[in-house]
Amino acid sequence: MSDKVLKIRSLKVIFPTERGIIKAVEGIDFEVSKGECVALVGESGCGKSVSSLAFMKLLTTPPAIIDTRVHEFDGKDISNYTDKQMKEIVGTEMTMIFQDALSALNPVIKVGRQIDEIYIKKLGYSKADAKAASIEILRLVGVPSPAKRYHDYPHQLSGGMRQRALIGMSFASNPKMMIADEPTTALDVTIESQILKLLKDLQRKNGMALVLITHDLSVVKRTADRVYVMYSGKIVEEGPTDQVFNNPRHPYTKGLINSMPKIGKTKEEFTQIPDNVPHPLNKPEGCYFKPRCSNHDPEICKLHMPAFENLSEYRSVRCWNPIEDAGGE
Amino acid sequence: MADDIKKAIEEEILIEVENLSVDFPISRGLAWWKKDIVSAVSNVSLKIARGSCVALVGESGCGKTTLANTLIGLITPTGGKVRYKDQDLYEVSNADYKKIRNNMQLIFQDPYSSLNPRFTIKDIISEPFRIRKNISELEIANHVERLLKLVGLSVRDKDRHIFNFSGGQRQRIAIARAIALNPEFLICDEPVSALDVSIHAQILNLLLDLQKELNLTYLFISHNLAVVRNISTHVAVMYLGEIVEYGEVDEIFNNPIHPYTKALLSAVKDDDPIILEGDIPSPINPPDGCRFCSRCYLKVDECDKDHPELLEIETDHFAACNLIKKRTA
Ligand SMILES: Nc1ncnc2c1ncn2[C@@H]1O[C@H](COP(=O)(O)OP(=O)(O)OP(=O)(O)O)[C@@H](O)[C@H]1O
Ligand SMILES: Nc1ncnc2c1ncn2[C@@H]1O[C@H](COP(=O)(O)OP(=O)(O)OP(=O)(O)O)[C@@H](O)[C@H]1O
Ligand SMILES: [Mg+2]
Ligand SMILES: [Mg+2]
Repeated sequence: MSDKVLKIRSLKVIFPTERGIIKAVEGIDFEVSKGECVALVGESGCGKSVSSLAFMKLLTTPPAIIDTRVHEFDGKDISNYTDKQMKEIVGTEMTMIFQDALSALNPVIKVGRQIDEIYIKKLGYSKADAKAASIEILRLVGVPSPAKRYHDYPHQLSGGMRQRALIGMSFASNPKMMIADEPTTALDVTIESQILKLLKDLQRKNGMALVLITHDLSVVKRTADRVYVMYSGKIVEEGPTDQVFNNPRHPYTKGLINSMPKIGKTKEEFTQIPDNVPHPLNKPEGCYFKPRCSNHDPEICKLHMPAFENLSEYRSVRCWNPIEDAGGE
Repeated sequence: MADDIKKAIEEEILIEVENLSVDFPISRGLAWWKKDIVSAVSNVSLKIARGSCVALVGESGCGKTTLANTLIGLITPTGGKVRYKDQDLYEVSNADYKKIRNNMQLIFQDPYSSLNPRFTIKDIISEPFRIRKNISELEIANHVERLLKLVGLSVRDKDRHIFNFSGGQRQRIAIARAIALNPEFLICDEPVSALDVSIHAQILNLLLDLQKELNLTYLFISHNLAVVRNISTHVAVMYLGEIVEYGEVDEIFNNPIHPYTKALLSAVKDDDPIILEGDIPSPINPPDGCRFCSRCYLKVDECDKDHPELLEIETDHFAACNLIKKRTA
């Protein structure tokens, strides 16, 4: 398959700090194809944002120290691209939207003008053409009365509307890949479903690759075709979303799924995962999940980190003692 | 279940809120003599029975925190009453208010900023005792031990500083402090949303256990409807300062009446959720008619002018919607 938009192998990111070395990302393999929506899910501090910044080569070195074996974008090896070469693709061919739309927008420039910039600077439009295109993109992302809103400053828009404007900006250049880092975490549920629907619609319309970064499994379930589950700097499970949800093989994935409270006909108990996420400077020996794992083998799990192994063509898991296959694939 | 709740209501109403309103005047830039009004809470009436857990849901800025703070006397209302048992919170003497206040405690969203990092666990948990009672060091030490056990922390940790603890452990410490003086009423304002997802269930189960053990009454503020489904006995849905629907939890989730409640539930339950269009009105000088009508998918002409009252549509199930009123009239 040559429709891989991003392909990365063995990505490692470490941060040397005064108190020790933080291994933020410990050798992850990641890829996303044209027209595919892939989620990277995991808890706070597990390395999602650092990974996604590394995908776009946006991490500053130092402090970060990065190592990758393969780093391809749109079929090109970009592992040795200079900052100048990256500037040509970041913001146009690969774009990113962040959780906090307010701080991602310049507060003293009108929203419309900020979108114009992309058309003018990156795509060489004239001022008048850029304005028309910006209004069109605002309309496309569902901002009501776009010609009026074009003249608003960011603080004059509601949270959902700002996120739409930001999505419009990162979509203006018709990117091959868009990374959305917690795009709905700051939003209310009714706005969240609007934004997720918008992202999916844009992605389908243009066959864009969409990377969705989130800690919220319900967002993954509703939106992603495929999912990577991350824990403490490592990918622990990967597979098509419905298969992973219906038949999780890693005890952590299963624990997370079970701990999602359900909206049933009657009240149910909350299923908990014991203990805490390991501190990044104090990760346990062996498997990082072992101290919280109800399925662990007392011998091997304590001593060695399991490898990330294929279970089938589409599924992989990093576990010595995976949960039994529930079938149905 | 339903019978239990009815009995509880007949048994004792702990807190009664009557036509409570909170306006915040804000000045309009240079024209300082012209004041705008933020209608943060508008004409809210609510009864909270001992032993119940009333969830307050609604989007950001709808007035949940303002209502909660007004309930325990931290904000003086513009109009209306709050009665604790039979005492009017805003009429009682200072001394009586202090006594009442000991019985009402708050747990905040963010255990990182609500606890002073330079203090040890023991300092933090013993603080309420020092301010409010004349008791010996030994008694305090005994109380600290009892509370630590109650919230599932190790007594050995009592001399460690806060910065050594994870978010979940800090929230346990905050809970221990809140229940130190045996309050009757606890307000939990988004108690888990700042925590790692794998920790949520631990803290929610702790709150449920404590409720049983100490016969606590909760006001539980959350934007996570799945959590609300499984923790509360009653749900109040707020929109732009008003309660638009109120009832027992099973009723609200299985038989929602108000179009906004339906949209909220649909956003988290349905694969193809109801998408709300239209602008979110500002709480500054809100519309005269129905406050939800600018986004309502069932709106009729009269909604622009007629302000719907909160009416008992079915036994113990209240909603404020012109359409429903019409149907029953
Ligand atoms: N500049 C930095 N210096 C030192 N450590 C860092 C730096 N940036 C990130 N880290 C560490 O790297 C780890 C991964 O962080 P990252 O921001 O990727 O987490 P995340 O999964 O995005 O979490 P969240 O859900 O909270 O956004 C964390 O332990 C973090 O403290
Ligand atoms: N001191 C204040 N002065 C002026 N306006 C205020 C003040 N406190 C709150 N408000 C406004 O009152 C409204 C209700 O705010 P509140 O904090 O109660 O909302 P909330 O429902 O708790 O929101 P969130 O879910 O974001 O915490 C908002 O519009 C807010 O901007
Ligand atoms: Mg992040
Ligand atoms: Mg609040």
